[in-house]
Amino acid sequence: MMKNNTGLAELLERISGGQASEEDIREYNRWCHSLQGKEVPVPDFNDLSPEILSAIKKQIHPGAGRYPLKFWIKIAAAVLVLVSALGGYYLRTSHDLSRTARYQHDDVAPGGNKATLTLANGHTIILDAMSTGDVADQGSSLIKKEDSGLVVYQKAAAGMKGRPSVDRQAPTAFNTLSVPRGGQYRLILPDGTKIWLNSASSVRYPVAFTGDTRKVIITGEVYLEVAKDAGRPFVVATRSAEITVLGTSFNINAYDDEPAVNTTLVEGSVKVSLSGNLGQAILKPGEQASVGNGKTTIGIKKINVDNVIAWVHGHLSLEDCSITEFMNQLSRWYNVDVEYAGEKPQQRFGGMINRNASLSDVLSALSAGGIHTRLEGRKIIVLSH
Amino acid sequence: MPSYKNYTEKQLLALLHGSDERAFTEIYRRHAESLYFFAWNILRDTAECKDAIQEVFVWLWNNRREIRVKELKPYLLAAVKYKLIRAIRNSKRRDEILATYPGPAAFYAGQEVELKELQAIVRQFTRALPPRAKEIFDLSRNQHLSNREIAARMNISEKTVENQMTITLKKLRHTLGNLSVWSIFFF
Repeated sequence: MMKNNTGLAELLERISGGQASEEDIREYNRWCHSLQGKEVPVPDFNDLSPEILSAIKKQIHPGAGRYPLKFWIKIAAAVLVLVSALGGYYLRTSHDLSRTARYQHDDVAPGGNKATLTLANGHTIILDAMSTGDVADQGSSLIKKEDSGLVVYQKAAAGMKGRPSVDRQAPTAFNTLSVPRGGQYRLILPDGTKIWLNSASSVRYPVAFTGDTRKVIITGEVYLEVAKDAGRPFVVATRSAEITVLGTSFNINAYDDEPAVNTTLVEGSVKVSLSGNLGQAILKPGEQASVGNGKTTIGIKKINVDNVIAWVHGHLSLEDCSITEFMNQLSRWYNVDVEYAGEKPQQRFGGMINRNASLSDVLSALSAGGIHTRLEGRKIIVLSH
Repeated sequence: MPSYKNYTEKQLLALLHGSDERAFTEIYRRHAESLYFFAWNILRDTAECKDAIQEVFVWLWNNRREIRVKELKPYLLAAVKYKLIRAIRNSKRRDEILATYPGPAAFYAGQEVELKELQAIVRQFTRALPPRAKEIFDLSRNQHLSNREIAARMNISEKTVENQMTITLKKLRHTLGNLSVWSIFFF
């Protein structure tokens, strides 16, 4: 017995001292596993788990923390802030770099919060260049840039005076919020509906909803959380489909360079109608309606909703997509063009990228999988093997 | 709003690599319990088990950029086994635990469970780095100092710090194999 004790103690010493043989490690491993699955009374882990996690969190935020927790709490409090303000900073540094760097050192920073607001009179406001605060008073609505990536329409209080009246308009006047490639933005309409706009997307909406429907027109990709108002359905028009909503969350991908307009329902209920009233379908949560270009039918399938709306959380999520679909996404978010030096690779891709990653990180990942590319300025060249 | 619950482990790993703390929390939520029970079966002491699990997850976070694995569970379990070595030596029940060892060659009938991962982890932790490299690595990864701060503290040039870190990371990467997290792009 004594001998055995010494045996294990010595084994442990050899392992931690870096002198263990493969056989020593094997021996220790077997012993560890031999003690598993015995009938030992175990404590209820559910009670311990939060305690351990919070001790871990304390340790991984040493001192004040490099990214102060407060920063994240603020974000959570604002609920709507999904994009780090760092986006713009990265972009600026990358511009500086790309001027001096040689080809093999080229990199492209990820996109950031960028958008242009076009008022009914044709007046445009570049939102990313504005500081936060009021943007314009439109009579029935007050437009406010709330933070670096959010513009909010508020119903103007009666008798509000003394505000800078940039542009007084009739309540039915339409505004357009446009997000360029490499941009993203969020918008809160006067009824409280929240809209997330992905890169290369736009939404056209009235400054106030006055009729018996609330209608907006979109291009590109948007995610909506529609404020409930059973009396006034919310209608989203795209190039080939119209989506009618009573109060719900859903994503629409209507990019012109994609083969279909895809509507994905997260919660609630929506009705998808073909333009020209040629047909309609009602979606259940977790379903996606697809209206192919030039098609007169609506295809419905079950889909992983989290993947579809990953972009809202700052991720690029890819599931079983082709090189073209993959490059389309990169092109929009990194604001780069794509060229194929030879035949297009036939692989399918899956996975997830943090939208804060630099383009070279993403491309080196691709290359690890056998797809080689070259970055020249703002152009990705996909090489043939 | 959807949570990280439906993300696959590969997706969580890719996010962890990019310092996504919610992905880290989800990884904890998925794996902490089974790791805890593994440690419990050996240590049978709540405080000691808590410490071991805590250390493993802090280590996971601190090394999130260097992790190149396809599957986390065997890797985390191997880390727990390694942490248990010190926990056993310092345990209140040390002698009792050591007494459960029936002597060498007693387990030959048993199967090898996740042995490769344990060997890799042991090699990673005990790799004989030169003392200065070890110190630089510790200041950088565990105390989160910048290269400049380390250079000032150790009275060496920033370039030296940078070179040393590159060599150390290359060694560690080699130890754990070259399974890049990014390989998840391919089915």
